[in-house]
Amino acid sequence: MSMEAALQTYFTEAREMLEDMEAQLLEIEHQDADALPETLNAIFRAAHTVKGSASLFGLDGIVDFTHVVENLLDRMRDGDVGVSPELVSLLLRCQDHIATLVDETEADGEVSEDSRILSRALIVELGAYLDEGAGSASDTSGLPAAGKEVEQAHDYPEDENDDTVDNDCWHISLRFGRNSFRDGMDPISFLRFLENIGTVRHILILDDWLPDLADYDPEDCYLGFEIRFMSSATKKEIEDVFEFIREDSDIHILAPYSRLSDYIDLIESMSEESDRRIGEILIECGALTEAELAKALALQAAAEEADQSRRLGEIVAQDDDRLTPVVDAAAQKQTQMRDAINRKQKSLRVDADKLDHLINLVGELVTAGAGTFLQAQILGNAELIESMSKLNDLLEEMRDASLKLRMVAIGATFSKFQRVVRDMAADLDKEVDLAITGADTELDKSVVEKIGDPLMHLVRNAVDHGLESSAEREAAGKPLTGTISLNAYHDSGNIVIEVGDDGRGLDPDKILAKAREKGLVGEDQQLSRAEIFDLILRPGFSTAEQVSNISGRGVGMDVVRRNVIEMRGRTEIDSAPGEGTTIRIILPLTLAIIDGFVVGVGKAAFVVPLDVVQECVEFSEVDQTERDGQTYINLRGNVLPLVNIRHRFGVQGERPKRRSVVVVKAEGQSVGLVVDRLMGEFQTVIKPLGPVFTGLSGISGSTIMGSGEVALILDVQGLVQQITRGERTAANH
Amino acid sequence: MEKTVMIVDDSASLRQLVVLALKDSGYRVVEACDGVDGLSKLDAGRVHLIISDVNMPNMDGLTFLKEVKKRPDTRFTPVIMLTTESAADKKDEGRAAGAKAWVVKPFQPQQMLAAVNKLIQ
Amino acid sequence: MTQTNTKSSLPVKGQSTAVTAAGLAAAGSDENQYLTFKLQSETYAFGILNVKEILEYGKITKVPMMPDFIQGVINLRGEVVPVVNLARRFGLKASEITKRTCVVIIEIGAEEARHELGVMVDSVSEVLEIEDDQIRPAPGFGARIRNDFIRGMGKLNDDFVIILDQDKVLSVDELAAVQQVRDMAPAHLPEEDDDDDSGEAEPGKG
Repeated sequence: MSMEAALQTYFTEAREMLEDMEAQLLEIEHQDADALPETLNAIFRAAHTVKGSASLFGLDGIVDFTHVVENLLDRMRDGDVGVSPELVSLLLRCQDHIATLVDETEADGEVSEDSRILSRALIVELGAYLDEGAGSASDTSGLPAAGKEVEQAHDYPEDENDDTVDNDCWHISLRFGRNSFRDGMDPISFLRFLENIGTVRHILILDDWLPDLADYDPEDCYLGFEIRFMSSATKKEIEDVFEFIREDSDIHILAPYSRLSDYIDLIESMSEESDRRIGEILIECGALTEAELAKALALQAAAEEADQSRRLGEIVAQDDDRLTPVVDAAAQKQTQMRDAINRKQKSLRVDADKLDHLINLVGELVTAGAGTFLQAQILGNAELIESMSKLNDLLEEMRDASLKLRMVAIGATFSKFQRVVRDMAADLDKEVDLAITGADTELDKSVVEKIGDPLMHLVRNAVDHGLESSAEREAAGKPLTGTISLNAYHDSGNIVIEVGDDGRGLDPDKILAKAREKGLVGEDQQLSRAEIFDLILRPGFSTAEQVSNISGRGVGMDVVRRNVIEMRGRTEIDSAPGEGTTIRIILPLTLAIIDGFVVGVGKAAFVVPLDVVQECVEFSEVDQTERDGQTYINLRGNVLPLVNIRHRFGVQGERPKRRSVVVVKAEGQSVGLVVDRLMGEFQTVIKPLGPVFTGLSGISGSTIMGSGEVALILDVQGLVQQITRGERTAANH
Repeated sequence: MEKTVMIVDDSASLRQLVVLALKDSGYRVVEACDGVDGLSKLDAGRVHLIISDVNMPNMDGLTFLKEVKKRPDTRFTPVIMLTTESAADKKDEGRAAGAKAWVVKPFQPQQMLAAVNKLIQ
Repeated sequence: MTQTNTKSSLPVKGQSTAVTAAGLAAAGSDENQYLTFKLQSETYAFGILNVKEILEYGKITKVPMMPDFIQGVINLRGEVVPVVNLARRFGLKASEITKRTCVVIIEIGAEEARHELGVMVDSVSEVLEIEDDQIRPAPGFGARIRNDFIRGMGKLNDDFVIILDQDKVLSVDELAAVQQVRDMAPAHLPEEDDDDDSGEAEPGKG
């Protein structure tokens, strides 16, 4: 591992943080007030980490800008600056900008001049909010300085209410460590040195810890001091005085005019002393008046009541002996929470190639296992067969488990569109909600990677063209806010992803007229409704009367279709005028496991996805009828169109006397597949056929059987679609 | 004997830097991504020193520190808190909860090594 | 033939050739080395760099509706790999399958698009070193195969071997494109319809 590797880790991590920040920012607007603090804290933390780690690597371009964003987020977290849609938009732009800074830094080692200019412009915008929230106390003037010196501007009171203690002196509480003498430290020398940077107004020596003479160890230091110190030095300068002893000693420094709450914190932090005792000491040395102490203790009591369990927890944190049942319960609850989080976090990144390699090896293992089992059966050794069959069960479980490793939920892909929809809605002056369902639907990682672009085109198109303007919606009596829906589910061994809108819907007549005008469809050519809708995905087709700069001139929609076909999938469009449009992408689950039903035709074996199989019946040629080149049988009074696999795929070899019909259902229609043999169920791993077989229809992939042979998987949907099309074409002729 | 240092921080790159800073001096470094993770990893074996960030998801650094001080096996394990300039109040809080020292981010690797050496030897 | 392909990642058994596992590996680093093989009495060669392994011809699964030069697919340690019948690809009559018939696994494409293809040949001969200055350009005519398939003619004593341009011979675009054309040919739909999968092609029907 090296510095470069760590830097690489930083870039990856920063991007993740920024993605998280974006997601949280988008959530703010839809959130309950109680959830807000945690969300703001998470956003703050993301910015904070991006900045903090950038500073470790000296990436000033990122640090300087992010620091300002972090400041504003800190103020929002404290409630000083309120959340507004404008502010969220600004923060989203800032988040984009930080991402750009990260990208540029990774690519070129520094941020570009353009980005520096944008940084400054955004800082000005951020400054407006910082000023608004903070009044006088905020320090935005020296903003881009990464705040390295911020600490020196110690805690002056942030507001002018009478919470402030009337004390113009610093207050220093000193408890020297037991070993101070042994470490060669002389407490008095520190006090003397203090005089160099100010005046000690009052000093109170505390000897509360002096033991009885019998226990007294002259080498131990038992001293404590409370000091009122008049100085113009900064807190850091005062702290530096005690630098050599601060590891072992207890040192608290309060600024002049500190707030009462700071004194309360001081009182509370003195773990070994009772609150009352500290309070008295403070009065004694003149840091607090009696009235102020009374108020402080009252405030503390109120706070204690409000949050008793937390308070108790803290006390116990300091002293094990005072364990109480309340804390037990709290601790238990904490353990439960910890377990839950632990579970959530037990994930690790693995290189996808390594996973693929593992899956292949496991697949091979299963095949080898099946071969060995076969040998065992030939040998007829019962014990061997028994143990091999156990081994095979385990191997299959192992294969299933390893395959699941590659499956990822589509949710992350979907949620990226929150931002897209939000930004577009703002640009187009529309009100749009994005409804996501089926986010848990799992699909193969390789599919997830490729589906992003097509979905982007569809979502943009739906917002831009699908949804009407607010005025149009109002006129139509529809809710002003349009809805874009993203949905995913598994169906018949496919994964279906839907992009829907509740907009104006598609007008088939208009589309057809336009397609004829453009020469895409012949004048007398008749098309079904579905085919007409399909035209909108053709190259160069656009129905938008007003071409907007967002989804362009229909460029993109044909890309969707092409990408989907490349993934061996297909598209479907449903639409009703005035009600909306749903575009469905139907993809095969490449590399997914499906339960298959194996059928034999000639010497070849084909796999039918089990979930489309309805039943199997015996085939009898006597019962079949033919019409328009399509054969049918009568299945309990219903007409069942047949696909003869032997003919369809040109399989050679002798036709057996007895054949079977596998009744499958897809696209809402039942079809019978005529096959030679039924070979039973088999859980199969889909292997994509690769680029050479692009465009091969009726086959959706392949799989490796127990014998090691490759079997082809039938694309039942595709076959059915061809039948329905063929039927219609035939009818038209 | 090889000493083990635990770094608890939600930033993987920061953790990597700490590992870089310490491993050449013969420290073994255990990484944890937040307080919860840190506590579970403390169960796994003896740690001689803990470096912990303050602001982390799931369990922040101060809560973590308090938990560490509660456990009999880690009560006396020195803890270095990592803070930023803007979190000065957290320093005091950390001190009160038993942190031995703090290192202000951003730090140089040598600074971190020096702080660790000082506390552990 | 009952042996599965997965077993024969080692060089082909029972052949008196110079191909050994070590030989292949060592040769893999030399750009001037070529794997020669026979196809219907002619000697051809592929650059050794992209040759991954040589398998005995074994179980192969036909893929329907593919051009005849796609022999089918095999299981190569869990990957489904297409096998090209080289004789057919050259427009020749398919060779008879014998004990010496082999499938040469060749890696084609670059980076992300990289994948493996099997090439069916009559028999594998040996690995030869042919210096660049011993390679002549392809003749303008006279070869039995398409001119662009030939990268050059390697001189071997008095004989020549035809060094093949694997990117052309095994061009995926071309293999897939050919298939699409063929797929559409029997379509009886209106001519405007340029949809890839609309043709209800049923080659064997009737």
